[in-house]
Amino acid sequence: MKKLNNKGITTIEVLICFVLVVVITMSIYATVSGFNERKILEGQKEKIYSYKNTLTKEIQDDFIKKGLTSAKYEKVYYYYVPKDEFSDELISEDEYRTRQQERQENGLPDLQILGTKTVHVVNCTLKDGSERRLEIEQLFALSPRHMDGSIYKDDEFMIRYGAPDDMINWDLPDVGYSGYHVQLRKECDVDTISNNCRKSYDLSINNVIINTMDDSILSIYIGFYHPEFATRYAINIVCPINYVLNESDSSTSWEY
Amino acid sequence: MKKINSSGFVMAETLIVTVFLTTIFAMLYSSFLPLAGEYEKRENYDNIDGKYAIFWIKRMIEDASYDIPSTSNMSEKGYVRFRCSDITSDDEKRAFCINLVNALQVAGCDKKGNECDIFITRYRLANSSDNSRTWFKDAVQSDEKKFQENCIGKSDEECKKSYVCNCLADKYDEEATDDCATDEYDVQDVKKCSAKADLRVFNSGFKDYVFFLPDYSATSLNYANYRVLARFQNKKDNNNYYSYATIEVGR
Repeated sequence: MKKLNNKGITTIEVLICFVLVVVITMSIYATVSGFNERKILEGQKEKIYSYKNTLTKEIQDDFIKKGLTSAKYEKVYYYYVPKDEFSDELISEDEYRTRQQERQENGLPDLQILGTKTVHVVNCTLKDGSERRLEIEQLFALSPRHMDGSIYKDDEFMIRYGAPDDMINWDLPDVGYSGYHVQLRKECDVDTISNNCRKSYDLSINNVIINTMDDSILSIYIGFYHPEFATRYAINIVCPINYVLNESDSSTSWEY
Repeated sequence: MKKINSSGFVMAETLIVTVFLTTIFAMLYSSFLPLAGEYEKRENYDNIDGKYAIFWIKRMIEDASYDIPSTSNMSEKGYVRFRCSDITSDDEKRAFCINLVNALQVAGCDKKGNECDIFITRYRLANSSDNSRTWFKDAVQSDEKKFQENCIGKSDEECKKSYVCNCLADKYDEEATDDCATDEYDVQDVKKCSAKADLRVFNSGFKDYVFFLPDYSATSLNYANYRVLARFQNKKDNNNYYSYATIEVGR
């Protein structure tokens, strides 16, 4: 009977096989982990889309089905200033100017601004006489000039829409949080996020452009910023004001 | 008793099989990878902004103040480009149209709202069993240049001259004309108009969108005979991407 080959494999062969398996595993891991990251981002995109689509539909439904007859836009500023050694308060732009003037008259240093809050308000009237209000609130803590989206936990963004006496809060979708810990209010613990402390997630309202083009077209642009998608996503609503359709008869048509 | 071949695989055999399998997997991966890109492109097809935007364009087309262009493009080429200047009877609506196409960020529009990428077609986009007419998908496939768009029954040379003359007239705020002495204009302007004339009517992104759409062979539930397709250029907030949308037109 022929002897079986029972020499086994050499150390070199084992090493080569081992290296091959490691290389293949590493390349598969890189691909799979890339897809996993992509899956997370796609989930976040879906949340942003869902938010944008639902809010856009809510507003456009009112404008199209009921008819938009007028729209007025105003922008209101508020400032966070120190109240005393331990707390701060939110005051209107007019109040800030008054206090600043008083301080200048008394030879005191300028009133320190800890944060700015901008509220964009669009008041709309529909054809049935009902009213709708859209409020877009941007609170930039400690960064009055804020060009690249929110990075601070204390920043806060909110969109409200509905009848003026029945506004609904449209909280921005939670698509991750990676902000720095910045303490604005003294009572807020730096390492915890309590209900009393403002907080922001990765998605912020970065740019708001609203105009009414001589009262003929209402254009609302609410641009979002996200660390991964930058300024790619936005709510973009364009609607003619008081548009009257002149019905055409079927005799005017193209040659088919 | 028959001897069993128990020598196993040699290293060379194992390596060949490994390389072979790796090649197959690499080929499979590379053929599936473009699907992800395709999906990202389709994010911009008929999205919510595009749908509401095209709705308002449809309303303008359905408005009696919009005059049907007298060109025979619909029967000859399967489409008509929407122009704000075709709203002749109502100055207010024409001005509104120019503002609206700008607000909606329609691609390609000039200051008169005339070169916008808004195409009115038959409701059905293609019909392989009817070759008697040009369907929109055929027109897109034919890859026409801009100077050929509104030119029927003329030579390419005449068509191009007519396009360049109209382009120059528009630039110098003169009355539109099919014939002009191009040497009387600034050479750079003539070059620009000539280059514009040679651009394609439908760019590759628009072609992809049109061929992604179905033929719409079934009759519209709203008895619509026409359809409008538009391309939007989203430029706000340092963005620069195109989106596309379509809707039926009941006129």
